[in-house]
Amino acid sequence: MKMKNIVLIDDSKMDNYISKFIIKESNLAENINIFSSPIEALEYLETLKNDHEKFPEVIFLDINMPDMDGFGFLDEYSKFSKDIIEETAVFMLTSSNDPKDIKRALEYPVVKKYFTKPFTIDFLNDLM
Amino acid sequence: MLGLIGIVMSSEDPNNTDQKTRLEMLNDSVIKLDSFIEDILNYSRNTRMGVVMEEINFEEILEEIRNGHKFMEGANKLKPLVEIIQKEKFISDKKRIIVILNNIISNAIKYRDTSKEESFVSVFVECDSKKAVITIEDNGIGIADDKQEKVFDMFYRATKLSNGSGLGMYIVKETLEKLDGIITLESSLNKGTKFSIQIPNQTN
Repeated sequence: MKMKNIVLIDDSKMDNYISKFIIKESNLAENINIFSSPIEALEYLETLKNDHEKFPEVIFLDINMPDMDGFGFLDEYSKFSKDIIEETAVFMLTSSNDPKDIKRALEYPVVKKYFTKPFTIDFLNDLM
Repeated sequence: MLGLIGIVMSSEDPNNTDQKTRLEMLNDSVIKLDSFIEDILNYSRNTRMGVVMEEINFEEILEEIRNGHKFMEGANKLKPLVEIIQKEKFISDKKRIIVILNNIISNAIKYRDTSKEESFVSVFVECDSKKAVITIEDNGIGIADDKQEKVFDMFYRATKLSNGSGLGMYIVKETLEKLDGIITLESSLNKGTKFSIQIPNQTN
């Protein structure tokens, strides 16, 4: 099953490079949109909120980011209309393996999985 | 590690841009890791080690800091202005003062405003028998009002330009506490930041 759109939110250039590389290699999605800031990602998603076609099927989200962190993103993102976010899965992709972070993230209904970095091909096997 | 990366880079096929990008990222991560370890060491030294009192020569300290920044990206784009008025002998902990000033000055370098024609960081030191007053001012990107309080918090990073550990200013605050010093900050977004530090003179 090939997805159409994936969004990746992470402030680390290197991690984005790795994630993008693996997503491309595995042929998981047609388009990958990368944002280094959750605020920019929210602005982008805002423009697509009525577009079920272009709204991403999957969002990979980091936690520790300056300005707004992953939880700040989830708070805002959860305010989007139900029918659009129900079609999207948020996967945490972060270097934090702190049980508190894991618990807190999985409490958001939109968050479907929690992965710790580095991104590996096994994650994708896990998803498919 | 950096040395090995350098060797691999120079023996790589220059047309292999993919590999070059990866090696550059590897290089950057090693630098980041190195500064993270330095932050942790500074933090732990400050908490564990006793305060060592000695005579301080600010001229010398600032020279040392400047030399340390020689190879830091952007350091040569910043005009350093230094004025020191030191009439009395000043006694405090040299290593701790270096950690404090080094963190603030390297932030001025990292967060300089590249849209401005000229960037500067000015350090003004005035010390008397009671205390040293150090003012460090830059015309960098500044810190928004609602974030100023948080910059001294552990792991807090105020700007998305940051790729550091979020420990620097926390270490500054903790280290100053050991010296019974205080720090205040004034800043406005896009204009610049000014830190005022007071450290008591331990002559007696």
